[in-house]
Amino acid sequence: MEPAALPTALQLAASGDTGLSLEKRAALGASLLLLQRDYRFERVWFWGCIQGVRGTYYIAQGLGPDLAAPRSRLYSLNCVEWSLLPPATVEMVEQAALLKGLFQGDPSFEYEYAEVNAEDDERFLEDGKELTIKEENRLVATIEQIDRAVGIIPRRAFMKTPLGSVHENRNFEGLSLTEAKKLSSYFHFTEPVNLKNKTLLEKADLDPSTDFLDSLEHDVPQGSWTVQFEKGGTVVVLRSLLWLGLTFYHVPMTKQYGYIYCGTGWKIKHICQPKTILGRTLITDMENMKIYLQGEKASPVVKNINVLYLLDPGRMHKLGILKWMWKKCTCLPTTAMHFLLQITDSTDFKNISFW
Amino acid sequence: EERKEAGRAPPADKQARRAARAAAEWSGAPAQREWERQRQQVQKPSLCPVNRPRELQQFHRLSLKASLPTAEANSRPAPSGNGCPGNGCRFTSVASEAEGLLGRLAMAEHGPYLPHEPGYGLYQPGYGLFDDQTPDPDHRMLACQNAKAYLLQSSLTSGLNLYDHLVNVLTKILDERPANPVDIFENISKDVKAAQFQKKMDTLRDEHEILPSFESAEIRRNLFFKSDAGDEEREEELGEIPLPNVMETAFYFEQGGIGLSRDETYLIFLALKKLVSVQPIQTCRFWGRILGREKNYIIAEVQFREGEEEEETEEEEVIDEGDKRMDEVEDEDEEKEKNEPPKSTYKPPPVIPKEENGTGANKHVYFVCNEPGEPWVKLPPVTPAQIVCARKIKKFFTGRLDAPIVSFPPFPGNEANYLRAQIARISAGTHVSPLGYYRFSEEEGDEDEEGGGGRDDYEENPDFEPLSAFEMVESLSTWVHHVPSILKQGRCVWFNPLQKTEEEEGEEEEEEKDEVPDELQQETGPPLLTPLSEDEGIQNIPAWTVSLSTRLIPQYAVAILRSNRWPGAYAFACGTKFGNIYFGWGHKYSLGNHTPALPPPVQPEYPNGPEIREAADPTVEEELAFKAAQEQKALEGMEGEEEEEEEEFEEDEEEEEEDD
Repeated sequence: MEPAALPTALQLAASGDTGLSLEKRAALGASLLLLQRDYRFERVWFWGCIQGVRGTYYIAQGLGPDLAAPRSRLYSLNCVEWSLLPPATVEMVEQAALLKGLFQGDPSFEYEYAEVNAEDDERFLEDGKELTIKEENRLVATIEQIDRAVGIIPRRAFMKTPLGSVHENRNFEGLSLTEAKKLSSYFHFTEPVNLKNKTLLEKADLDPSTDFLDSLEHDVPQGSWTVQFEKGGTVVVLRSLLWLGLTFYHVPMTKQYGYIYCGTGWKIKHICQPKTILGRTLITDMENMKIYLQGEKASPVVKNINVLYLLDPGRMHKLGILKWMWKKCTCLPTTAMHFLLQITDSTDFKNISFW
Repeated sequence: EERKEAGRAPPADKQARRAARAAAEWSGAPAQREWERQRQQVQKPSLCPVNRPRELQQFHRLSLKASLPTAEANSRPAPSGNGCPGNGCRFTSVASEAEGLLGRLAMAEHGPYLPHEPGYGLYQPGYGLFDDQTPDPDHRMLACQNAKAYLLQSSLTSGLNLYDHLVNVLTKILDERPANPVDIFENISKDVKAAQFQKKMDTLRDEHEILPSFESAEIRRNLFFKSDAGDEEREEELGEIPLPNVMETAFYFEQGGIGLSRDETYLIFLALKKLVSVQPIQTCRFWGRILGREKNYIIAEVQFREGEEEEETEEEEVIDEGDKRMDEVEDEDEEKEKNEPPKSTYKPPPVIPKEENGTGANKHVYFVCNEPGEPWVKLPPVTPAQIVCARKIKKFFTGRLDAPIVSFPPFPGNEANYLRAQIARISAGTHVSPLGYYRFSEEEGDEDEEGGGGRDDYEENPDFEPLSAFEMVESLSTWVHHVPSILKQGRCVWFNPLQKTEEEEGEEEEEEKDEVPDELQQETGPPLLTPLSEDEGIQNIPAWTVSLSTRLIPQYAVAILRSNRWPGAYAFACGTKFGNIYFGWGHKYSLGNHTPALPPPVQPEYPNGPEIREAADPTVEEELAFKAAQEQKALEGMEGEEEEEEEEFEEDEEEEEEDD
């Protein structure tokens, strides 16, 4: 969010821990402006912070004229001195996914990976790379993932011009109260993925200049967002249950909106985690103790799966032909457990669990 | 010239201009409509697509040439937009003037504008825009009329025409004067069109909109009414008001960037005041806020005055009776159906009784509400079974206390119980105070006899000498837990389940003798007031992170403690003040992802042995080998006992059967 809007934003979106002490907050007011001057950004946004064991990373983003263009990211440990982060690569994200635990709070800290399994070891050794990951890289990857997964804006707030660049919509006057309740009025501010898969009928109602992004409506897993009216029903606050710490606020009927992340940089995976099985998505919904399949047509009516792949973190195991009566699983939550137990008995795995 | 003068009139007398504009429109409009209708009737065939662009060009061009006063006036606002000193008034008045003129010309009943007519073809190649010698002003006038007539055609679908629309758009732009109107022209046009349909045509009054925020505003307003005089007197009698200074605590936390917004904290403060005035409360504290999926919980931690909690015990008894009734019903069923299979030998493990109110995990009573101002709801006391189960599951709160908890292993109770269990766990893990703030009561001298459980009685130390914030940050050993930790059993003080069962059920002593040998080890936790440095972290992650609120002004710094085991739990210490608070989702930190407990293995139905296992059929090779062996045997004992022959015969028969 804009540095100018920060004090109001923190008042509105405060859900306990903003991570910004008064000293840091005051420092941000000055240092972000200088950042804009030194790096020649069109505008600078304060993104949030990632808390580590020994220190907290404060993150800012510098934007050019096109809001959808890749943004420069900067971090600081004291909100005064800022350093530029390298752009995220696919490799970085992959490597960072293998790490667990909290951040250390030291950008030069190197994680050693004892836990990486043999296969991965070989792969990395072949590449001739060290088995360490710098915390800085992990930071970059985490920010990238968070932005991609839960960086959101209200509908119509941004506008795509015919030339393809994205600008703020100056005619945006805020969502109405009824709109603000619906997840469909909020968009992921990232490359759309589901938009292409929509049917013509669904696309008919979309306005190409404003509806050029994916809405939150069909986010997988469902129920990963909470929408609440706070402050006596005047502010709508969205919180992500996947990335605990991400708070989005919007005052309906006004232009005030923004999101801030303040958390440990850890994605919660126990709610439910989608995995692809033979082109379908298996979703384990731990909140409701259900496992269900999402077919190509988004219908969960799949009678049985003949081949079930179980996924260890990072790897895939084929478990042979298993007849799994699907309906049983949806009716009785414990059946799924027994099913897993059966697999444990029939294979060499010590323990199989939900992901 | 007069017109121009009118246009340049200072913008101050806007009202006058508006009136003038309205008058102009009123005078121009009916005549124009009439004329338009006639014109359309006559001209329709001529407005073929070939002619149209030409006409437009003509119109434009003629306007640019500015030889005709009307055309000039018409053209001004359109191409330039900014920099033109005129405004909407001038434009509209001029436009209506032009309409009048056109109307007059139309009366001459000129037919459709055709290629053979003068003025046509000015845009042939070779013609410059400005250097041509236009033959006749009449021709231009004609072209102008034609173009305008085209623009005035109303759309069949919306009933609008472009001419009026442009007038409206330009009026809007000139009235509002946005920056860079050319960039947002499309949007303005859209807005103008949308505004067309907002005209209120019926005489019914709109119902006044009732926002949902009104209701909550009402609730919050009630917090600001002063309570009756009687209550105040009562409080004064007591001398000591148990209300904590929430704002002061919030101030210290705010130094470290923790806390809700000030408005909200103040509302919570008022809500606590209300709670204190209603309930017989001895101590009260704002415990924190737990986020939920639908609503959040604001939690107050209180201790009742002694002898004023009878209400609860009654409730519990009722519950117990209910359980008994259930048991009785089951017994009756069993008696009725005597032919049923034998009773299960499974005996559930003895139920560990919950701790008395005012002790252990039930030392405090908790009140919750969703929003400040809503009625406070008392949470039921926690049972060990709930704590044990709460450790195994991880669920988000919904914000409704009566919501069921769907989980594995099944949780005994609903969300209120789960919330209470989590509060007990968080309190036990994260409530800390500076070393020396509390001390053990002096009455208890025989702490050694009590064993590991330790003393559970402490009081404020009158000789407490505060450490500086720097020292508080330097080492975790300057902080101590002042809430007893909860044992694996789910209680703070260990309870031996075996003892009691023996006392109660003397009949089944024989059975129990088998169990007694594996004596249960008494579970012990760290004693009260243990320094935090003894807390174990999660793998390499320390249990706590310390920080100072400011590095620049150390003399006024506040030491801030964040729990890594319970993300969202904080403590501060500044001089003699300290505080604990929780803002989070109510989940303990776990490295990696939460894995639910697996169900216990399925019990065997019967002992599995070789005598009941189905043997595998012999293969052909095995049979042949066996047959060969048999034959050899037979050959060896040539003398031939009949029995053997019989056996062979039997074997043959078997083989035949198998073949079948």
